[in-house]
Amino acid sequence: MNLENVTVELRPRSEWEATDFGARMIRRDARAIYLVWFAVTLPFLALALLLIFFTPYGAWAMLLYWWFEPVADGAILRIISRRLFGEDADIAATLKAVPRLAWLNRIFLLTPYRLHFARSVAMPVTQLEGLKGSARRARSKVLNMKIFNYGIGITAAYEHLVLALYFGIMLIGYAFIPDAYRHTLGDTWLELFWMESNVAAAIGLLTFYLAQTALQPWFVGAGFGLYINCRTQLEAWDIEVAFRRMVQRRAGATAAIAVLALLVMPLLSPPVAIAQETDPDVAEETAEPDPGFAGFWSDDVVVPALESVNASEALQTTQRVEDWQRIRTDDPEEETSKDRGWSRNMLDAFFELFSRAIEFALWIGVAILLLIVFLMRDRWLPYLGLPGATAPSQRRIFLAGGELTAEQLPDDIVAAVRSAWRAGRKREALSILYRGSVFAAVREYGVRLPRSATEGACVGAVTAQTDTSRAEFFRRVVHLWVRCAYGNQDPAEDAVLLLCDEWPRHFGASQ
Amino acid sequence: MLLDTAYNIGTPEGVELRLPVAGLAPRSLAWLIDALIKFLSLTVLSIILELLGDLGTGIYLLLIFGLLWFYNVLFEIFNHGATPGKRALGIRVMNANGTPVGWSGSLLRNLIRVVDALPGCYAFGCIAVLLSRQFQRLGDLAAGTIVVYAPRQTVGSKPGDVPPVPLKAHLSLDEQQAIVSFGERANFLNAERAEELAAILDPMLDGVDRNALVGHANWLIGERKLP
Repeated sequence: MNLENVTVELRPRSEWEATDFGARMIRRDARAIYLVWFAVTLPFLALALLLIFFTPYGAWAMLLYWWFEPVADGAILRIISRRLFGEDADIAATLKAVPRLAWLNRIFLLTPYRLHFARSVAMPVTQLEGLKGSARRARSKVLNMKIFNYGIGITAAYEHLVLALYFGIMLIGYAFIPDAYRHTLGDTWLELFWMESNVAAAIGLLTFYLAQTALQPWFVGAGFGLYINCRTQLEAWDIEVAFRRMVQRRAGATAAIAVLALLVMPLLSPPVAIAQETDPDVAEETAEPDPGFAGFWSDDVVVPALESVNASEALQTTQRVEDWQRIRTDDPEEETSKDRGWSRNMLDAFFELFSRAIEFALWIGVAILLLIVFLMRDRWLPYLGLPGATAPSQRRIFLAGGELTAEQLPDDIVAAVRSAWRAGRKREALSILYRGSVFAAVREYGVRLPRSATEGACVGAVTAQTDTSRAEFFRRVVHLWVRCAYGNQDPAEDAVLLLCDEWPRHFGASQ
Repeated sequence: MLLDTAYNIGTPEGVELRLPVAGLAPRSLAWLIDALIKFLSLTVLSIILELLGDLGTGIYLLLIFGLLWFYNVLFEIFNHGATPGKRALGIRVMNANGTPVGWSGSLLRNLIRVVDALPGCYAFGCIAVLLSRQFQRLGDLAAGTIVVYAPRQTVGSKPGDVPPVPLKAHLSLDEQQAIVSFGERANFLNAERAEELAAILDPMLDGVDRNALVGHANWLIGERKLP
């Protein structure tokens, strides 16, 4: 352990901050840590899967994996503890050390100590300090007084988070199962956990492994952070680092001062002699200047010294900077256009032209806008309710399917509907009824329709512009037409004949 | 650069702020405490409101809505960025630039809590905290907020009872702080370790030992005579 090479900012932290500090260490070497994690845990996982698929002891698979998992924790601990003191995260060496580390940590593997509530802070004591038996317990006691509770805290937090991730991954998987297969698994997603088959056990194990993969290194890091922080406080590591830096800096500075002193010595020789004679304590406590100094710092000595320094080549760094500045003239008559020169006049002319062009463009924009409003008059005029510019009889009707003209409709609407209905051409009958109604509404009752009016738009226009009973009738017509035309639902014969009977009363004024 | 937990930001005034951001363990425990508080208060309220019949059920549903969506927001706005759970763990929410969290920030981070909670059990939020540089969940990333440790009120401990000894060397601020820190903590170190630390400075301060260093610390904090 050499604190001079430490690669982290040591300082006494709060315990929770210490756990985050561990997380930062994990993140810094995440690549190496995860490589080692997979290298160590995958064999155990494979063993557990073999147990599930090839032996009758599948129920023990999860326990097997779980009990040996701290082997990987030991390897992670080795990496971050070495990186703390600036060594490389040597993956090969770490893997080689795994059996030895597992032996060191054996009490956390196959004994009830696996359930140690603060395992993440207990493992560094065992592994990094190499203590055993009573020495380990005594050492743990010292550390535990301060951080045991926090060790339990991070165990609680991380074990629950592993569980949360476990459920989360299960839920995501469940969400991706197509509906058609989902019912074969059971009524709810919870059934996933009760299934008793090899595949279900394997899925459970793999999900648990994924959740642990995401969190376990961070758990180890958090415990290590607590342990390091505890030792930093107990042994004042941060102070040691600061002191060592101080001495180092001084060693460097002394050399620099020696060189400087050689250079400046001729100039300052009198004060050096005086300074050696004065006691620093006395100098510190007396506020008035020392008479010996007063004579020396007089202008006759200092001013020439400063001038000689100023004259030295290193300080001769004058620089020529050129810049544009506006020249202001106080005489207002000079501001007339004649005197401003042709370039200024050209510039003015250019801006004049430019602003004219923009103005012109704006007017064109306004004209286009007005044209658009005019061309779309069919859309908004009906909503104004003004007396029409064109008489209703002259108005052209544009439905969504195309223009509707008098030639397309039979003279006697009702008779045509009845004959078509009797002939079994139900769709045609309703079409005539609908289009006849629209035609009559526009021509006879002055309803204004928007361009390319859909059925819904027609209903809206008729409702807004005629009386309620007519609108109600029109709605019924459209309802039947829409159901037949788009829903392919044949209307009841009664309903159609009833509409035929009522039609003359509502739209039949022309016939 | 050395690894550190703090997130440093420079203000326009040229002041360096050191914000110690809080990570997964304290945040999830704070969440757990808040969840328990919400659950218990809803349970108690449900018993009381049951006496009011349908009206009570209506009020209860409104309360659930309010508690779920505004518990965090209101506490964060009016309680210096800390819900009771966060306060218990000594952490609080603030904007990533060090200013107190406002309505928009708090509302946004708590609305996106729903996404963090996906697919149940906060799996997304947990992964986001692990992966993001300043331990932010998705809501924090969207709202530009961080969770930091609230500064703790520490009772200033003074160096031990050693008469002040003037320090002859010129020290930078950091170095003075290191010596003062040694003076403050010398009593909590064991004696051998304290002497060992003092001996490091021997090349610089001739013949310095633990007591002399504590004396220097006293002198540095401005003591001239011990009472």
